[in-house]
Amino acid sequence: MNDWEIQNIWNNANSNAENVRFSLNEIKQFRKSYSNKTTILAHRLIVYDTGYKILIIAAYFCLLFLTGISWLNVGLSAALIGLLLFLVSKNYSLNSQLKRIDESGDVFGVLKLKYDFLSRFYREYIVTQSITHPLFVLAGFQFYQFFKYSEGRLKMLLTDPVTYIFLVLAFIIPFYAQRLTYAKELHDFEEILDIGFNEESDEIKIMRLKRKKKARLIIYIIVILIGLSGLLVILDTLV
Amino acid sequence: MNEEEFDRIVLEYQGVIWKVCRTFFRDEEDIKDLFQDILLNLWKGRLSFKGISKLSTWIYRISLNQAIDKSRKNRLKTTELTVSVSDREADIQNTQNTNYDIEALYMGIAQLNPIEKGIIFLYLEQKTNIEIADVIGISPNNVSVKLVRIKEKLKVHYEKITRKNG
Repeated sequence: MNDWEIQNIWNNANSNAENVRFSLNEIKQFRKSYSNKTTILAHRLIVYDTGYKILIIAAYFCLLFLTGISWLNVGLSAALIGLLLFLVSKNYSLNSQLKRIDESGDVFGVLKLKYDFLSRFYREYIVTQSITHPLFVLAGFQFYQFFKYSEGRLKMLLTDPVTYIFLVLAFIIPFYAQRLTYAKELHDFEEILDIGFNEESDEIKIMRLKRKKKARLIIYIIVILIGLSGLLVILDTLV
Repeated sequence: MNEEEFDRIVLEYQGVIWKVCRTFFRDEEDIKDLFQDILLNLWKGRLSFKGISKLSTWIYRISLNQAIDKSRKNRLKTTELTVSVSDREADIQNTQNTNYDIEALYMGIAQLNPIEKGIIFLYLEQKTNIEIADVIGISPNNVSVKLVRIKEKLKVHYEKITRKNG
């Protein structure tokens, strides 16, 4: 089988491909049906997650007024609302990064941009998305207490180890579920970019190093946040 | 690019888009899905087309980017297809010679990495190494090296089927 034969087979296979499959009217109808459908899945996920965070912010504001103004209540609510607002701003920058991927760029360039997005920003998104669930659970606990005892018992909630078990589970379960999908996607990209394209491998290695650096930073931030929450409880107990 | 221009371009280039779809997928549903996704991306990207690159290059890039993306996401499905393709190898000996060769070529292409599929597609569309390099985003020298390897893979696959059925 030589080059000429391959070409000949291809031409035979596609001898009808140039024939019109859709008429102009059919194309017009088709275009009208998807003109409004311009959002991609990742964009929609970010929008839904932002809505979810805004809902929790609203819940903390409600709790603040329902459960009364105390040093601990105001301090914790302010810290959590601040954290959620920060996460919303992260979502906004994530969305901007997503919009930067131009599908009309060259194939290899687009793949690298997608890989870069996935390895740097999407990883961050999984963490910021998973952090939201414990905050939702905490708000749920507070509402439960308020409706059960007609008052806020935040201190009791924060000194109960069961609360922390639920908070940790609310973070870990979605985090690992998403991470599995994420790791598979990342592996697929690496495989496509690696196979036979050794000239680019240095660039990919740099991307991987950057990804690890970012992962360490995220872990430090989580540790600092947990430490600050603990400090808040200890300070309140002392005061 | 206004709506009418867009419709005319799709009408003119739909043959090329169908060919991209068939290079990456053999299942009719997948082909239709990919065709629609490509059209959607062309529609989304129509405002960014400034005419710096050739219209055909722009269409090839968007089509191949979408095809590679879908091919990656359908990885599990593609694996199933590869299995069914091997099963079909024994059955195609009764088909006519032309169909036999076409099936063998498509089966060979199905074994390739998504980027390799893109390269061989452009080569079979009689694009020059420079044009292929422009669409794929690698150097023309790298294109010729890859082409030698890809054609070798296709030949080995073709001979394997021929031996099996010969």
